[in-house]
Amino acid sequence: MFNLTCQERNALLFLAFLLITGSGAHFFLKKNPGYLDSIKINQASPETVKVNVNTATREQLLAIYGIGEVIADRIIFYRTENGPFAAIEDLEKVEGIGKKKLEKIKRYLILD
Amino acid sequence: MHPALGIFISFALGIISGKFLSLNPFLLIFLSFAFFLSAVFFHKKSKLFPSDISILFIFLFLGFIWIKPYSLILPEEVLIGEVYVCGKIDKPARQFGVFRTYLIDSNYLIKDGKNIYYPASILVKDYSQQDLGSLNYYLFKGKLRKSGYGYSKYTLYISGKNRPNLVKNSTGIRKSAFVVSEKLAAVIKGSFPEEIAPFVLSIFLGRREDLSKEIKGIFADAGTSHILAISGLHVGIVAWLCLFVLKLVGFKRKTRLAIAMCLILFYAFICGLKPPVTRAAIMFICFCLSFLLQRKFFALNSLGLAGFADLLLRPQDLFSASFQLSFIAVFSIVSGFKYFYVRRKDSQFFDKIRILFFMSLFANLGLMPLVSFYFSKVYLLNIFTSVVIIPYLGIIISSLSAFLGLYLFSALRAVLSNSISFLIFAFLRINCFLSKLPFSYFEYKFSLSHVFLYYTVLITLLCIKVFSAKIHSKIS
Repeated sequence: MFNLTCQERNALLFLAFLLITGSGAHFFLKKNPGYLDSIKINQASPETVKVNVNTATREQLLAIYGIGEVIADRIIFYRTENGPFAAIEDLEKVEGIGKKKLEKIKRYLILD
Repeated sequence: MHPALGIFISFALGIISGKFLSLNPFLLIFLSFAFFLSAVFFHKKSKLFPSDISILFIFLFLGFIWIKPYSLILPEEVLIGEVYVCGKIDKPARQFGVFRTYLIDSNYLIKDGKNIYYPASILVKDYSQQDLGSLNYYLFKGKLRKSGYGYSKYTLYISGKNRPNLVKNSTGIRKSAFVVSEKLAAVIKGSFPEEIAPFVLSIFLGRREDLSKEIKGIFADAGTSHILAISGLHVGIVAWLCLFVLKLVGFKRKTRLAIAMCLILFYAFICGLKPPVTRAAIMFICFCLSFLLQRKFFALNSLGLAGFADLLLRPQDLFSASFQLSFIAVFSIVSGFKYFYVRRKDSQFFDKIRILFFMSLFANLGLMPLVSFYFSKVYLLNIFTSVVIIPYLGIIISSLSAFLGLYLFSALRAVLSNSISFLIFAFLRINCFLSKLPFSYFEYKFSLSHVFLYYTVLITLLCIKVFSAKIHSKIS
């Protein structure tokens, strides 16, 4: 019907395959949002990354191992609602950050 | 046949179906994968027809999947009280008295600490009067209501005390293009009288936010609104000028084409990647690639590819008037010229007028019901007036490109800006005259069923024409 050559047909099928697997992965990750956090690899060394929790952008917060999209937004949300954090320990007031989590992320954070 | 056009139509049908039918995404992925396997199976068996049909079904189901995230309906409780929206400002804001409006590409909403995934366009009415940078990511706080604009279903009302917080500065090619666009806009505003600067911004950079209602009204009544949107004509002129300058510099043909492709792509970014300019840029790139790869250029195929690429990036564009008008106009012109054998005979002046007339005729035949559906007007004279208006606009855009190219030469700058201003004033006067002609248009709104009926008849006639031409060529 389309008079495609063998190579063109292969390219089209490859594109279709990519789109199907891509959309499959997209919906899977939307259904299981925690999955991506569990395989997240920290690419920055702890010595080099120190983020000011009161001024950090969402992207800077996301660069910290242990902070996912949800927690980053909650930090921004909390900061917007209640003003800057007075101490690092105040992060425990953010929903989703417990003692363990705080211990894990504390070394990457500073205050102004 | 034209595979890209077939895939585009199939993908678009999938998007339309997905907008109105709610199916489980995993079922849709399963179905597309099943058709993928069937396409591979028939391909291996060298049964090409069933393989092609399977490919069409794959893209139909992919269209279904693609629109899924954009057709989400928010739960009612999100509309009660205030909500946080995280998203990117899509284009510069427009000021309306005490508030300004802009569209944001929302990413997700935060309601009572819970994240709600909502990747769609939201109209914002912002009373905070804060200057916000386009294409940057912000956290907005406001009240969400069920009324939108275009394909955005909701409006976010931001009160004076809720100032949006910057979350992330945008980077990349879109941001760079926006910076260039801002600089060009400043140059244009500084060089032309304030009555015509918004018009220049509109026809050269696609920025219509400063265009007055009066000017829009004149073009709407004259039936020439399409020239206010950046389309193939603008891209064609800019491309031709790029190629001309590159030739003067002394580049070889292949290098010229490669550089022109990149420049046109960047120009599309500068113009905000709206559907008509994206379509024109992709079609131009296909045209250049056909030269570079020594392949035959198929306009309908490249149109299909442009449509498919646009829908892949922004599936909700299919429901915007600019996308529909742009694609139907080009489809009508290309298929009209192809199947009704309108050929260029020589390069004489009257032959060019004849070609322009047929171009305008085919575009109007294709667009008439849709224009009537959206704008409640049926134009009578613009088939003839386009013959004058389009070449005139071509002269204006060429002069504008030359003006920006020679901007650094201050002596030429003043002369050029004055002569272009004169040209534009005359152009506006002509359109004003056309808008006041007694039979320029009459007010009538096609219903959706009439639009479908019209296109069904038109496509049937086109199919009859194509098949009769095929039978005729076989017999002869």
